[in-house]
Amino acid sequence: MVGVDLKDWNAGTLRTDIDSYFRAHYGRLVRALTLVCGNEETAADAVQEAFVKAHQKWRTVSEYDDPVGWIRRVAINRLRDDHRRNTRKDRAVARLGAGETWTVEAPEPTQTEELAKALADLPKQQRLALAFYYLEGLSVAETASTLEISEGAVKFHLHQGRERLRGLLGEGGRP
Amino acid sequence: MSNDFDDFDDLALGNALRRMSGSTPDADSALGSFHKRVRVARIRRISVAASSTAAVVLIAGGAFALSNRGSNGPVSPADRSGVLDTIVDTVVDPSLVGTPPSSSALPAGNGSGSGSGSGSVAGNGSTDDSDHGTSGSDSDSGGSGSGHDSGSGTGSSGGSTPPGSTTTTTDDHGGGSDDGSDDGESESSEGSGSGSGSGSGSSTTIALVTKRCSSTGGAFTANRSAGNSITNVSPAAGFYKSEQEIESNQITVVFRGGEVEYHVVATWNGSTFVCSVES
Repeated sequence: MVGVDLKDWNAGTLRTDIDSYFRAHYGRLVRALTLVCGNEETAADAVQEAFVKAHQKWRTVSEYDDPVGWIRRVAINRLRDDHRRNTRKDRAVARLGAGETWTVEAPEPTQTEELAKALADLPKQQRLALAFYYLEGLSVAETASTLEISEGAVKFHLHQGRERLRGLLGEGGRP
Repeated sequence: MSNDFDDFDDLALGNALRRMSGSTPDADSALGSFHKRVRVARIRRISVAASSTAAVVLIAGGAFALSNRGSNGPVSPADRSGVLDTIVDTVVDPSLVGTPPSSSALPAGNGSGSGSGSGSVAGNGSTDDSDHGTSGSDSDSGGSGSGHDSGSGTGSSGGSTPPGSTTTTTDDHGGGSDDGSDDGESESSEGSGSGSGSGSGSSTTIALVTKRCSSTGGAFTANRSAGNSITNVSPAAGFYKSEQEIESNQITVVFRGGEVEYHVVATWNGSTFVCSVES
């Protein structure tokens, strides 16, 4: 992943190692998770928290075969926690505001916005699979390992997601 | 279908997803934020560890205090039948502090070669007490005739002087020197000076020895200073003090409750009271 020799680090190089990993993977991780959650700030927050946890346990994490996979996994879990928390909050707000309806004149959505909406309507596992496969550039096996599902399941999610988005991409494949 | 499942390379979809995910965030600027989070997390961990330690110490201290309080609870005479509870309390009776009578003090000597030492012994007011205290350093100024004897003897009397009492001999400006050994039988002071000596006496502090004797029927405090006495007689519930007898070395108090009598006896053994109960 990154040209850092993990086997030859000590306490003095801890910060350098982490910083190298951060610079190399932060942007791509944030973009992939932005695609999943639809909010760049939330995605950045989750990724940074994952890196903080990795920093705390770096002696252990750095010994893993794929430290970035661990960080990616922690960030996904963090996103899920946030999603659950926000869902509960939204339900509570909906209960409190029941009866009030707001009608807003929405502008005509662009093709990209339609694609974003279609993506948001996909199951989360499909979004994750699409994000890691197409944005992070992970292989099917790496995506399966990250999502802790089988490779067949990853292929299924990729196929389903692409089928549902294909209509919006047009005949030529351009949105 | 199987071909669709195996071939997922879709450039158009990849580009569309990249556009949707926005621009790549600046990792360098995010790095500062990341380091700040690391510092905050470290401080939080330290504060949590400190709080946990403090909580553990507080809980342990509280448990220790509770266990100690249980073992040092107040003594209730009526609660423990047949068991003697004694509390020894030694206090200094201010009324007994002062210059003892001259019965045991040697007369002041005048003239050459004779000094006066104060081998005063106070104990129970009787003259048969002997003081086996040892004097401290002796120094004789010789020619001037005024020996300076400063010593202190801790009186361990063979008689009835309480051991807890302290006999303090202050500076003795007798003319002469004390040989330092005072056997109590002969208060001898041999002065080699030629001046006149005059004893200035000594002050004696006698302690009051008290002991509380308890029984199921009640309790009292036996006191011994100049003599025996009792105070703080407190019969237990359902009992009353029917009689008391104070002798030279023994105090007997009878607590009666119905058909039951408790004879509580405090016997002076020369150094302290020994309590016993008969029912």
